[in-house]
Amino acid sequence: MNRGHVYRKILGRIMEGVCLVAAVIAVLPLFTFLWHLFAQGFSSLSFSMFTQLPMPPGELGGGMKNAILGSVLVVGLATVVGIPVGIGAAIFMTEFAGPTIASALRFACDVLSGIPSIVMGLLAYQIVVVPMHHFSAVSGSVALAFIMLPVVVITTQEMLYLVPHSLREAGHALGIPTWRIASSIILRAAAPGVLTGMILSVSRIAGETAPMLFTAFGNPYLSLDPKSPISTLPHMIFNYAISPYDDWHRLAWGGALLLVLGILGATLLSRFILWWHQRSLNT
Amino acid sequence: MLRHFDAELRDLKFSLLAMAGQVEEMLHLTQQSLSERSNHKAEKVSQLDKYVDEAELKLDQACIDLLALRAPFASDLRLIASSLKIVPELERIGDHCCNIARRALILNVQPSVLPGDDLERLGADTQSMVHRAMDAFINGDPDMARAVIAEDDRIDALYLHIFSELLRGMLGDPLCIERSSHLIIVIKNWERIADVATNIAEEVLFILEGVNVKHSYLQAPNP
Amino acid sequence: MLACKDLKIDFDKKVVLKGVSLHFPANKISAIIGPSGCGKSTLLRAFNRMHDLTRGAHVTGSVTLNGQEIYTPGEDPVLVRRRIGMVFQKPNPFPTLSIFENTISGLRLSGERNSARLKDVAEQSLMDAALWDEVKDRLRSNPTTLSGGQQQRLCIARALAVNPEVLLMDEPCSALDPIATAKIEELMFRLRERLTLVIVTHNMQQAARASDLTAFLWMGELVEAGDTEMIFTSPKKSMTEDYITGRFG
Repeated sequence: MNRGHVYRKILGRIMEGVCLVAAVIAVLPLFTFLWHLFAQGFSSLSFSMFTQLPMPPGELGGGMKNAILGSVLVVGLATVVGIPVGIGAAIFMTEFAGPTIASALRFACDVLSGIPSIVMGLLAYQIVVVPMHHFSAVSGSVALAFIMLPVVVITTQEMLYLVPHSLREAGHALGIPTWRIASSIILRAAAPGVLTGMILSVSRIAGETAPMLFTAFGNPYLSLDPKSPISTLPHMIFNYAISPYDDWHRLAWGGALLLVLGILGATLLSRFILWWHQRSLNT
Repeated sequence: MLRHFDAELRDLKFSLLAMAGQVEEMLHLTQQSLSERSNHKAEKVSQLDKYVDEAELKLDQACIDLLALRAPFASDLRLIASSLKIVPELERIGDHCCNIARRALILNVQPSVLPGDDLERLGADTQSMVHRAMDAFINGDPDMARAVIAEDDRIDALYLHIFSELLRGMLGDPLCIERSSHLIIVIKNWERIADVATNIAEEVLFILEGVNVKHSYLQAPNP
Repeated sequence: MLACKDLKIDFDKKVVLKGVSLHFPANKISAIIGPSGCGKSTLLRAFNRMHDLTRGAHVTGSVTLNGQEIYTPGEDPVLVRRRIGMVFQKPNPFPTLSIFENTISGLRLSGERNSARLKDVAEQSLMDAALWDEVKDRLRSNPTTLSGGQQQRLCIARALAVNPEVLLMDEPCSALDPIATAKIEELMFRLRERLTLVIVTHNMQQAARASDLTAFLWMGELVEAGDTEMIFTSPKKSMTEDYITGRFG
């Protein structure tokens, strides 16, 4: 019996070791990538990145002001449309729709969220770029909105489901109309989670490159006209990275670092919101 | 579902029945002390009263405890509440027996003034009423309880008959006034015992049927 | 005043109430008792049309408030629920609203804007619910800081603020300790003066203590209903007798 016990112990330790190795392998790329990113891109992070336009190849310096502002515009437009529509759809699914309609809608969102972003770009091309006869920021926003919508709907719906049913009952028993219960009570109760979902969906679309290739198209100059082509940060990183110029490579790394720092910031912000909300509930 | 409480209620009923048994023994001895002119039996009655008093104290406490600890409803409540009323009634019967026994001691040394067996019949009928009231209680027999209640009038009539005989006797022969006065007290006590038996039967009806049949002249007629 | 006739309720063909007719007099406390699963909560929820919100629920029969049918087609259930309020078993104040906001939520979320009136109603309702003294200095704080009994009284205040004629209470004290329960029962006696109360309870002692009328339900059917004193001293049906003495159920 003693031998069997020792054997089991050893086996347990081995398995634990194997899992540890697997975990390290899984996380290693993240650290490698971050290390590389910081090493390469940190030097190009400077004030000029935000204030200067790109220089022609060969000339040193220059920044990514147009791409940064362009991303803000395109993502901003997408958000303005995507978030309210997404939340509205989620409220419809949880508070108004019957079980069959709700699950059908949920299925549609699940499918949509799995569609590659380049396909969404193609769709936006077809329905915005072609009728307008030219590329535009608006078409980029449309593509991003399509990508963002299922994410917003799914996360909002999950958060709304977490709100206890007793609150809805209480609202109904008071004679409050259903839409009011949904907006003023349920949504408010789910707000931290919904806000987190919103932040995460924004940070997801901020990094989309493929759809921008044939919707926003890119623009070497600063342009904030929604009807014109516009430069976006991921697109510019792509262009610079595949170029033969070292200077542009350096800027690309800088842009990539900027993007990753933005996403990291967004994730931290959403965690902070959740923590702060939890803390205010406990006081 | 048999409850622990059911065992406690059964114990209550049997304790009440045991107390009633003591009281019936006292009634029996009281009757015999008169009919057999036995002073020995008359003294025995007074001795037995102590046990009846003890039983009253124990049963009072048992009923209060059950009310406090078991929060009874419906028939359980009626049983306990009525038991609380039956217990002092039984004790009162015991007291009446003692009263009669005391008179018996005085009467037994003198010749009898009542011809016939009216006095014996009064005693026997009263005893029967008490016995049947307790039978109705332990057997859950409402009809028997009703029968006991109905007999009270007959006992009253018998009492009045003996009373007027004694009065006539006193008017006719002043020498028997003393003896007759004691006898009047005796028959009065028997009559009171019969009243108490009627009360017990009314309580039994309340336990069994939830209807309070007392003071029928005040009750509204049934719809 | 509040009555139902031949009320039958089924959920996806599973019959829960088999035809119940009851009458709850005005300004009295009526208790509905019965074992778990007998349909008491289902019956209670029929009175404020809560089953409208449940898919697969079918309600037939009549429910009237002061003679007016509340299930007439076209009658907005929201309006019914403002006249017939409800308090639930587990206190459910809205966690993201303050105590003050919770109290007036029924009014404000139905369109009332006048802030002076809202303040008055809040104070009055919290006083009616015997909670004002305990919360008047912290109306802006979160209701989760209140004890269970206080939260339940807040829910009562919230229901009273809408000024209903009837208050339905679904086992309101089963999540509370005896002292909190006693406070709510005292509150019920005071509320009786201006409201009709119907309470569902599985606690026999509470029904005996706190109600004027008691109805006993068994497997979706009404077995007996009557004055509480009669039901608890001399019930007419042996099934009622066996249930309240604990011989089954």
